[in-house]
Amino acid sequence: MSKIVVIDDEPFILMIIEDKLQRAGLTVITSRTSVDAMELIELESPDLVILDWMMPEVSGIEICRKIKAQERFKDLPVFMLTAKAQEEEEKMGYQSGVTRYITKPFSPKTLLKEVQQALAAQGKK
Amino acid sequence: MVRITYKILMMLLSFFLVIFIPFALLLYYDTGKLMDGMDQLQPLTPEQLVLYTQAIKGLDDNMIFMAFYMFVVAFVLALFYARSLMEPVMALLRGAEAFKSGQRVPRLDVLSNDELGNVVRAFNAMSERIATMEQDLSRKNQYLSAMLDPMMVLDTDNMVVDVNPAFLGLFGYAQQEMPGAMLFDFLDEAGERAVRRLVHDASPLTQSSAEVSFISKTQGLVPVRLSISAVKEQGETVARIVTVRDYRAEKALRAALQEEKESAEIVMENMVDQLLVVDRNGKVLRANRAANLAAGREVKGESCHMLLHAPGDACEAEGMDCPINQVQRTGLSFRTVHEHLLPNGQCQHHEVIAFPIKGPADEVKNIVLTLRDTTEHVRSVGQMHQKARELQAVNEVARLLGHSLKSDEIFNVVLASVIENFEMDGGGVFFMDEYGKSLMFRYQRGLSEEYFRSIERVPVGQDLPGRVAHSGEAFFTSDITRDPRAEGFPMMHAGPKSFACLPIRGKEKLLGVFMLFSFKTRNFSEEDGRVLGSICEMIGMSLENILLYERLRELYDTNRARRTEDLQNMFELSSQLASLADLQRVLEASLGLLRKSMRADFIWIMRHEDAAKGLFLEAATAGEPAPDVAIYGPSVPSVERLAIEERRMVTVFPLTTDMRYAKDSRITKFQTCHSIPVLVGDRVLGALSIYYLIRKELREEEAHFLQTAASLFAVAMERTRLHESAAVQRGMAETVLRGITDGVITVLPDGSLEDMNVAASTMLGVQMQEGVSLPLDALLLRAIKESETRLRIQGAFEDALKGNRQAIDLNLWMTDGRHLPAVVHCTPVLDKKGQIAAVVFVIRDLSREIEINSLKADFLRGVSHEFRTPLTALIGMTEMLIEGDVQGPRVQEYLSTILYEAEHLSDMVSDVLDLAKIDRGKEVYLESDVDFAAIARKLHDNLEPELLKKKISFDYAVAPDAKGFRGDGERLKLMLGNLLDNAVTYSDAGAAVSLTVKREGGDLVLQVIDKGWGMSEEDLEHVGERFFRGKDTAKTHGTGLGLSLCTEIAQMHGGSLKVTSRKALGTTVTVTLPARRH
Repeated sequence: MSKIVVIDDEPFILMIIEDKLQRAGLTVITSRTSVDAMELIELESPDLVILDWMMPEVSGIEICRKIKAQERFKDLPVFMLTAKAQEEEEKMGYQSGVTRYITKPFSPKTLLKEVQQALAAQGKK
Repeated sequence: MVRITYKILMMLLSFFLVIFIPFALLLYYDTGKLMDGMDQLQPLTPEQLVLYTQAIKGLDDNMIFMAFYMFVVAFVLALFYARSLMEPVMALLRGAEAFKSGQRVPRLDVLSNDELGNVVRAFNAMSERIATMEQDLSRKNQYLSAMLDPMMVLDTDNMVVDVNPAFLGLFGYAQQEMPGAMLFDFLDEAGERAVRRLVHDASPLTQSSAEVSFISKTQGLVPVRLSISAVKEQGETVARIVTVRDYRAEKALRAALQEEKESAEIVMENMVDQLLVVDRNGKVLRANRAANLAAGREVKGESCHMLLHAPGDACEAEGMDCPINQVQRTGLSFRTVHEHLLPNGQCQHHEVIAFPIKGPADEVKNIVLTLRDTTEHVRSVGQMHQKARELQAVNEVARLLGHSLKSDEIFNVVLASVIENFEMDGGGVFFMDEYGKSLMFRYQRGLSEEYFRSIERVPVGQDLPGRVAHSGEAFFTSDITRDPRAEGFPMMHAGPKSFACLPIRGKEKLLGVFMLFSFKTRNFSEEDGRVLGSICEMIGMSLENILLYERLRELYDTNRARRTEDLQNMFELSSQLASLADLQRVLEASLGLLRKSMRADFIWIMRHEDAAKGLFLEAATAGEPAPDVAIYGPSVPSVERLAIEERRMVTVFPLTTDMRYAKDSRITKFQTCHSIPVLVGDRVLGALSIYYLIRKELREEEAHFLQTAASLFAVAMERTRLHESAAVQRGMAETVLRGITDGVITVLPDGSLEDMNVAASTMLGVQMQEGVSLPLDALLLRAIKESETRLRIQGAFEDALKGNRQAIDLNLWMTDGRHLPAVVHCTPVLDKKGQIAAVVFVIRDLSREIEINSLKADFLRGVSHEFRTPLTALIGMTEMLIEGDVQGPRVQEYLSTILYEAEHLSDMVSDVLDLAKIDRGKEVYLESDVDFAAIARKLHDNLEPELLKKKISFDYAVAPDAKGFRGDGERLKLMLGNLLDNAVTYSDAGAAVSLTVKREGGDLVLQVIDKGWGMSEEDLEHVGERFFRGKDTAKTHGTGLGLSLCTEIAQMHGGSLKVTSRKALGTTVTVTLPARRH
């Protein structure tokens, strides 16, 4: 069973993602704060990470860079879920190593599909 | 080993020989004696006993002597052998001592050729090796100390063995603190974890690094990039080297880059110029706001040329370079100016700059297009050029007329010159026949031979030229096919559109008609009419001159020599008059020529200003008073006045007796005076008088010659007048130039400044007079700090001298220290021959546009961003509810989140609308007497349910003198409502909130005080920024717009809003409204 870590400072977003992904049989670990994001990811070794960009402590982009800087996580899919909808922001997201850039508002159904595709591409279910 | 063993054996042997042999011999000798004694002494007789005793005693004595002798010999021998052994050993020992005490070891001498000698050689080799190694080591130590990156050397237990000075310098530790310290003592917990992994992975071949915080002694935590490499010996790690690079600068650089990129983004989006990013096929990938606004729609996805042309037409179809194709072909940036006809018939000019965006293989991937609308600019430059051209036309025509007396030459050249200067397609000259009945078409340009013949003769009153000849009035039309005045004239259908038809007048009668036409429509301005009128007037005079000259030629036929001389004089005169330099000098020189030719004693020309002012001296033969002197007052009679009044040549003699005409002292000595009026058409310019000391009558041909000369003077004087009026016109253009807000600087090709307007002098921070005397580079030095930008301006100037135009964005530094974002357009100005006469720099101040646009952009970006989060709740959660993903009590939770976020969205929308209303303008401000007591009551009622729920007490006090304040009551209520809402929202249950309204020195002071959560200093700094919400706001509802709305309302009343707050102590908002709005 694949494990997903979700970090977003908006509780209801976490609620939506948790409910949707858990129903699809995935293990979801959520965090409202990004301070110890790296510790959480290192501890859990998830199969996929979903991050918000704008968080009060550490931004999603920074976390993504840190993830990608580590050899063991270089193939870990990272989804960026953000209200930043400018084309350049999206470009910046991809530059920092994001696998999929999804702008808010998003459809949970589509998100689930994207997550499953990314996991399938990793050869996991 | 053999040799040394041999030496030792020898030593032992000699010892043995020396000691043992004598001892044995002695023993043998004494013992023999003893034995002999013993043999004879069977029973021991007393003699025997004595003998025995003596023998024993003798043995004793010999023994002592022998023993002593043996000892001495043995010692000497042993000493000899021992020395040869000890000497090299001692030398080695001394060497070893020196080595131990750390001195530099001298080279030891090889004393013997035995094993010890070998040992000494080995010792020498060793000490040399050690010296080299020491040198090596000290050099390496120097490398380490010199390294700028801080370094640590660790042992296998990660204990610090050594650090370099850079390390101590950066982190503020002392060298003696280092031994015994652990690497992990310098790291925080997260850092330790990251570094432990690095330590584990470290090898001599790979160097892995991590970004961690390093505990410094002096600066707290310092962000660093830490790299570890292992030092291995025989596969075993023996030490680790850690480099610790200060990461702060890099971090700051990254942040700065990011900021740079964001600001570039804002500037691009808010540029006044249109900006398009297109792919290789011209499809628009990206367009900025200006581009979308110009097209009136979102242009992304469209084809580039659809934006400017009729759909489907590429630039190349209109005969212009396609910037996209150019950039693709050359791979370089390309700039051009495009001209497009809009559907409304107006012409639009665009300056287009195309830049390639290149892929990794240097291939052009996309192209960035910048479009700047230069229509206005092109139009004004065009107008200035037009003025210059017209002035040139007048000068040129005058020069031509002055230079030649051959009619064919004059009319062909004049016609060509006027057509060119007025940008017409053709024209012609009609001459009136001698009966005044019809016009003969004599000279033409731009007409077919066939058509020319068909209108060879035009009766006066018929067709366009005939009508002008009849009425004597000029006729201008921009489009004859639509001009009702041309109804019924055959020329209406001849093909050309714009027409100018002017009469050519002589002194007494109409001489002909001058015609110009163009196949395009062209408007003739009043100025055009005046200039063409002057040209026709000059043509008329020339024509009369020519006729006169032709008559002269007949008259002078009999006197060839005289005629040649006169002709010569006249040519000289006319060429003198044609040069424009200094009318005064030219006139004087011409008068000199005339005096010579007429053999006169004195000549002068008077200028007639008007009847009320009298006659002024224009010029006189040399030695006479300065010009512009009034010679005759308004009512003083003179020969000149008589000639002017009679409009004919007047001759008076004897002058000396007719005192009516000899009022001026300069002419009293002359006998004869001939005076001719100088006329242009019907207008009197003055009079030309020729004086003789003797009585002199003029022959007819002399009189004619004088008349011709007077005509030439008239042309010259009139030309000067026109030139002066043109200068006035130019002055007017300059006034306009001074008035415009764009800075305009005209620079001559040699780099010197010709002119600059007020705006330019303000922008560059120089005085106008001072500025004009400065060369371009010195001028730029004042206002442009970046040498690179100065070079670009200089480059643009040089480029302009090659005929190219350029626009440069730059910052100007004002004298008050502010900087001004601006764009400088550098445009060449061509003279008539297409040569570059000057370069015009137009500087446009962009600060205001950038400021306004960036404010708007910030706001819109903020709005769209802030809307996205609540929308996620609405869309995402409803989708899940519909899909049936949520069940049980969770459904309730989802629905209330949706409601909450929808309310948030709705609050935000109404706040944005309120703000937009205020942003749109203050015209909706409604002023009336404000009853703050009523407002406070109403607000209290509104808040009551919330107050009861949170058990918050609310007091308000409105001072009686608050009455009479005039302002927008609804807005003020909205403001106070917002402030009270905030106070209640950000307070815990049981807190107190108060509102006071009072006067302070006439100003009205409103205060909302709460004892709630308060704000941190950090939050306080951002208060009032749109969409800003403090750290504690997660648990509350709010849009981040309320306070900025309140500030707007306060400012609308000319007042201000101030927030003071202390964390956990509460917040006070003070609004001060002046009694009177300014």
